[in-house]
Amino acid sequence: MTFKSKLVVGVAAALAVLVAVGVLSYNRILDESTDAQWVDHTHQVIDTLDAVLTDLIDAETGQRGFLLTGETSYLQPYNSALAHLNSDFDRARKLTADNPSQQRRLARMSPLIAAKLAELKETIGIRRSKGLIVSADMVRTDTGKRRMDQIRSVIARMKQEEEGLLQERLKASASASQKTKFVILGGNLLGFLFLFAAGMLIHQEMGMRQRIEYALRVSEDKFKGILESGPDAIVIVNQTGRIVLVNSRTEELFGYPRAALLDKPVEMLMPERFRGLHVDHRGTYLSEPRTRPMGMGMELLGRRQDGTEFPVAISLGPLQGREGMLVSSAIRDITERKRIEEEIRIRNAQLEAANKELEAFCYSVSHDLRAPLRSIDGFSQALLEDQAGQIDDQGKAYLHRIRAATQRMGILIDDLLNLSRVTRAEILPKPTNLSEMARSVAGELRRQEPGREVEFVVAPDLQASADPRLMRIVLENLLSNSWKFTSKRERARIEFGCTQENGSSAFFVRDNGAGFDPAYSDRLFGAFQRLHSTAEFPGTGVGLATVQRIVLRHGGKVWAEGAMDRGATFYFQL
Amino acid sequence: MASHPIFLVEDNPDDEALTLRALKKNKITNEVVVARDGAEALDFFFGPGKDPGGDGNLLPQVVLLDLKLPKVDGLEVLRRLRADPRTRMLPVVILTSSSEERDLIEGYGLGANSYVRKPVDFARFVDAVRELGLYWLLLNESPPVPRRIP
Repeated sequence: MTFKSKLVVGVAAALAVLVAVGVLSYNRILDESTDAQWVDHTHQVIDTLDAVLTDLIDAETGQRGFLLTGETSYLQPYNSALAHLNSDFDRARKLTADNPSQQRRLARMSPLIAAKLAELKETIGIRRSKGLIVSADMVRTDTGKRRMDQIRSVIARMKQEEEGLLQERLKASASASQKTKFVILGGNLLGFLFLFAAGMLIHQEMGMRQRIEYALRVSEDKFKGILESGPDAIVIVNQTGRIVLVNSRTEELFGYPRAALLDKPVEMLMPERFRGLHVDHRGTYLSEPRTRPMGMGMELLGRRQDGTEFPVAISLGPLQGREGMLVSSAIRDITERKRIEEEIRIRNAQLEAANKELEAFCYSVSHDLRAPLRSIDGFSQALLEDQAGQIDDQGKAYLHRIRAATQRMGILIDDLLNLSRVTRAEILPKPTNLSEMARSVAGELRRQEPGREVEFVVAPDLQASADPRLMRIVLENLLSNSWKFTSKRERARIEFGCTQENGSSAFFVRDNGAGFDPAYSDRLFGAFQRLHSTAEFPGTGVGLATVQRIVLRHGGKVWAEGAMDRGATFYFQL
Repeated sequence: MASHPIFLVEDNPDDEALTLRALKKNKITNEVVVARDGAEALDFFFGPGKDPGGDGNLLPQVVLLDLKLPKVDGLEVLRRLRADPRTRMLPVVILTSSSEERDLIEGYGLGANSYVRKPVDFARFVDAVRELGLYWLLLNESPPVPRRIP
């Protein structure tokens, strides 16, 4: 049952009870007056009957007095009684008109009374005429006395009945009163109970309403909090494009007080030249509403109250409201972001320019550094050849050293150039067959030194997504290193393959050459770091640095394992 | 037939000396004409009164062209040579220490016949010169001189 119906039922019940009690009480009071009337009536009947008896007694008294004295003055009671008797008897008859048994008794009494009166009258007559003794003899017959007794008993009977009736009525009245008392008490109690229950119900309901109101307010506050606390301006727009809700960030951002925005078209927040287009777009959005950024790829601008424009990023979301579709938009001022983007652009341009400068620098370096080297080497050789006779062995040895040094420097320059080129080069990853590349490099190494017997084991079909030119440099460096460091082995073996490392695949170049001391493994990849002397194995120490640079630029890593004189394995992951 | 000269465009006097020496070591006896910068080179071919390939003006058998030259750089010289119908078919060997890919692309793109990198090691340089000499002077068929319409 709903609260309302419960309440109605409770109050109605209370009212019904109270009305019932009232009605019953009223009835009872009416009854009580009726009862009072009946009591009165009964007393009247009794009094009347007594009056009749008294009349008869008076009459008898008068008769007796007269009989005794013969004085007419003693007949006075008899005369007055006679005068009253009929009216009294009639009154009795009237009063008991509704009681048939009393009427019957009265009817029985009537002849008795008549007879008695007659007898009295007779005796009085006889006294007058015949004197005392004769009348006394008549009285001695007792008929008069007997009749009087009969009348007395009838009246007594009648009085008894009336008394009985009265008692009955009084009893009934008392019990009715008692009942009514209970009804009033009980009814009032019940009525109060109902009212109390109704009161409790109301109290309960009010309590619940209060709690609901409180919860509603809490949720409203939460909602408001969310709305107001965010960094974005929130603008909610209805289907006709009117603003229905904004938060304080909107006021700040656009410079309008809330009141100036509500129920206005949302287009007021953008520069005029975009307004028409926006109206169209709103329609498009409503036909396919979903949460998405607004104006992908377009430069969006907001317009402040003072007319200034600023770049914004907007995201939209549909809100199904009770009165139709609402669109909620979160607007962010991206002036800062744009500025940073611009800075980045400038920075990038600067970096580009710096890179270009570096390239030009390297270009001239590669040309200009070599030229003097060539001269040193060339003229040293010229000396050796043309002035052979004039230079002693020591001199020749010096010249040889000069040539060797310049040649090393030439290689170094080349390696350095490669390294820097590798650092600057754009990586263009393509699916690359590393196995083929390795075989090709191996072939080149063999061609350069056909005298050597080297076993090459290349795992087939090793593919990677990488820049092929740079990968070639990696393989050239690693394989030529292996080639170099296995030069002292009789049975040199160089392997290129792939293995699993930490869940992803890693390529490796393994050789059984001179290896390296693992204690120095962290220096392996440093530029110009060498773990062997140039006399043992030629090299500039740049090769591995180049390999590392290339692999790092592919987002991978390199590492090496090795032991002195037991070969080395170089791993790289892309 | 008179042997055609070898035209060397080289700004570095050391390199010039070494090249000449290398040629001599390889017993190449052609006359070597040297231009020390791009302007001189162009002047040799197209200067006032010059008529490449005309009477008394023998076109070189081969041009050894360095790239980094003062005044007018090597690639511009090449471009000019290729632009003129009289010198368009002239064999040009770019002989430079630069191995920049960009130069290779431009050089070949402009129509160089060959691109040789000058090694630092002089011995290898001598070998390179010998190879060049053998190839361009002996083995290669020179282009015919374009007929002049009188």
